[in-house]
Amino acid sequence: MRSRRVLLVGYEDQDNLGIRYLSSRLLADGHETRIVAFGNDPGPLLATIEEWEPDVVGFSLIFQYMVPEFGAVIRALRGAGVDAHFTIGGHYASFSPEELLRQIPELDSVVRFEGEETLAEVVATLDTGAWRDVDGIAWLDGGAAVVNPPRLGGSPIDELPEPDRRDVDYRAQDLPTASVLASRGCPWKCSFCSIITFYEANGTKGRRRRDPLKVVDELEGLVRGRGVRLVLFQDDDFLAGGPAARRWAVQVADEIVARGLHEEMRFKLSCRSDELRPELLEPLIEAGLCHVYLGVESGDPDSLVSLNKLLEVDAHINAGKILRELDLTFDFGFMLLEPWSTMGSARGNAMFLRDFTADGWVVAGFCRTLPYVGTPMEQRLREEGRLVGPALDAEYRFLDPRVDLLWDFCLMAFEGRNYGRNATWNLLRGLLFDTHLDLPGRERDLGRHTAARALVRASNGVMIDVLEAALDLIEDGDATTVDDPELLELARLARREDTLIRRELATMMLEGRRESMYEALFR
Amino acid sequence: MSNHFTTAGKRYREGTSFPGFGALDVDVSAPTTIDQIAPAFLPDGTTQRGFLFWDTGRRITNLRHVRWTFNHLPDWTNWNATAWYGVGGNGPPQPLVGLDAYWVGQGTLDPTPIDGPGSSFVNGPGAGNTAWPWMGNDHEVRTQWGPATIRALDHLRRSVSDPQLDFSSLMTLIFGGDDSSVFNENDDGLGSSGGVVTGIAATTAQTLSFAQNAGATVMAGYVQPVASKVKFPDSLIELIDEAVLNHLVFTNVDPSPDDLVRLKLIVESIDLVRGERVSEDVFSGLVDAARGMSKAELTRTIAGTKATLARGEAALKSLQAIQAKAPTKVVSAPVRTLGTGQKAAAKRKTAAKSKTAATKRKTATKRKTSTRKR
Repeated sequence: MRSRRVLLVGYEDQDNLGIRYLSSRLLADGHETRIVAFGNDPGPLLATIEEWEPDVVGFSLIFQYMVPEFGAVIRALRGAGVDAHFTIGGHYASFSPEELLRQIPELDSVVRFEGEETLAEVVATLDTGAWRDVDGIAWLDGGAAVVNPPRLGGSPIDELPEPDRRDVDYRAQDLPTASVLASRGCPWKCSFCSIITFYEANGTKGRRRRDPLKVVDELEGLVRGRGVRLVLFQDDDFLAGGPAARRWAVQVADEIVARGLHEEMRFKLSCRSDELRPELLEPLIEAGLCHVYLGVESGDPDSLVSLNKLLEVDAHINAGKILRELDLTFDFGFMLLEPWSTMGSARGNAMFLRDFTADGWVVAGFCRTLPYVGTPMEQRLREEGRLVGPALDAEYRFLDPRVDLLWDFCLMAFEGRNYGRNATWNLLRGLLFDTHLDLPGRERDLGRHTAARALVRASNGVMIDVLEAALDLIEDGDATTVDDPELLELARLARREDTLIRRELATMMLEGRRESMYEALFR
Repeated sequence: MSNHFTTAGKRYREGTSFPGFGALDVDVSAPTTIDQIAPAFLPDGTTQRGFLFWDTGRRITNLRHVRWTFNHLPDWTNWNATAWYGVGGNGPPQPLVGLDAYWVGQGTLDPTPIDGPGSSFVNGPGAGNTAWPWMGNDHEVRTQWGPATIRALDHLRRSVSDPQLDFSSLMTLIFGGDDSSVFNENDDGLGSSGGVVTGIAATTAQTLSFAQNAGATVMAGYVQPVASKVKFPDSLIELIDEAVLNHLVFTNVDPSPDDLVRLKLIVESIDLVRGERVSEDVFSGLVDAARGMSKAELTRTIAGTKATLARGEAALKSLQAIQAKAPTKVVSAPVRTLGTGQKAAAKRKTAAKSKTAATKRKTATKRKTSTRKR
């Protein structure tokens, strides 16, 4: 087989493990690869292509909303005469290949779902043109999209080489941080999430966990070979899978301790509220667990049903209590509104946020549920005839127009506080994490942490006060449009206070030692 | 003695001198009119720079041709104007409006001039699809999802040590400049400026609108407010009267009542010179005012007061954290050489200290039930 040059282009955020696994898989077949970060300016990418002359350029599309940006860059490259094979992958690409090919007809192929084996086969068959017959791809035949049968079986995760991290200089980072994937898939069927449908499309079931020894081998290489001190487990749910998964997690923890890695690094994981148990967390903490991302999503019973979370609000409260008692920092995802939200469920969520975050241990923030392609929620909204707008940005309106008004108000009042890469919510989460972190050789900064918690209390408090005041105005019928003077004044108050909080936050961050952590970890 | 008028070219945003520009250096001894047309494009090494805007000395304009009319020479001494040149962008146009701020007579300003609450944007459907600030950049507005109406802030300040500036103008920049007309500048109204060329506030609309998918670079100009004339004698008399009426002047202690009066006067004078209002205590009159508030106003006031207190608590905790870390007063002690016994004791002490940390990890090491089988 002829060795090919493959350039992999992806949005780099906490390591793009997707393209790093693709790269290592291609390297194992004897191909040459390079990884470059995606940017809106096609100039640097074109310069790399002209200098290195790849046979294939693979784009990793993580975010559905970035399709126009990817389209613009791909068109610019074709316009500049690049004739390499262009392929693309990711969740949106997997679920909507026809639409994506319609939007970006300059693409030659779409690699759907887990892509390591599929891409390897496409690259191997480029010479003969047989790539068009590869399972798991979609391509354009004379302008018409052809979707080949899916590749069944999923990638053999214990046989895959470790992700290609050749281009990352961890030691140059203020806090050398690497992402690791210890499993793929998720057994839960939350209505807003496409993880299960993504992996089941390959014919696999539930969550596939890697051999704990291989996971810790990877950690050891990163910590002792590359100087990594913080590991972010990017598993969608590190503890999912019942008793067997819990045993597996403890095996990973024990192996970390057995090799003494807990003396050299800390790690973070993500999970659900109802999976947390003190007896499970204790060995993980001993092994270096320092932070948990909790998929709370809602604190209202009706919304939890709509989201198919299959748990009660008490599970969240209990999880928060356990984490505080074990002195673990955490943050959580929260959707104030989902397509079937009512004013009552919104108020329930606001009350939950107030109780859950009152002590400043955790930052309150929220978004609303989006109907991402491939999710049961998108399917249900489609069936109910509620999806509006272009396929790429399919939208819905709430059943009660007052909830629409509430959301419009939230965008107006909390833009910059809750949303955006540099949002106050993100910065505060980073600050709490940083001031609480105790790494070997670096003591926890309790004074700064106490100050950070006070600032978080201030930010949480004003956001929830404003939210509840807006709920009152809208529910009472006092405000019926987003430009209502009282709503405008409330929004001004929220934004003014947020500006002041950010000023105070800036002084705390300057006082700290590694501002870059906030950028790297919490976006 | 004649007045002095100069023009110069500068690189945007670096602010470095751009020697390729045909600078003027003119002595002005009688009322006169001076014209200059800035070239649309000029080479800068291997790069081509385009005209962006003029700082005429009192305002900014994107017109290349400026005509200065000087009729009031006794009112000023030196007049400097600057033509700014920038480098064009690469790649396809983006649905993005970028705003920058400029202090007339001084240079670029880093804070964003965008008045968020006073503007309107259309966000995209995703949680990260915030039109402003776009990707966390509060100088940029994304127009991909709908039109935007952008309002410039009333005031801007470069840093805490600088004065608060007033809005002057808002305009879309054109790479290579605008040739459609002539911009007329003059020295009218400088009579009370003490010989300094002062900027002019509020010369254009404070709002610009952009259609969906529009892209533009916009400059917001700000000027230092004209200093108010401080009536020292009147202020002094009022303050002394007030002090006497309130029986403040009754004894000579340190600081004496005279000192207090002078101090108060100086503080007020500085505020007036900076063009600022004297600030009031945040809580003064709050409760009185609350009696006349509507329910909604009261709700907001309570939320705002709670937030202020909470921020104050955070500031207090920060101060305490800094205090805890502050080095204690160093007392010089005579240098002593440790004997062998003392050295061993010190070593034991250090070992005992590190043992505390080690013991913590020992619990974990006890769990060494390795699953490794190889």
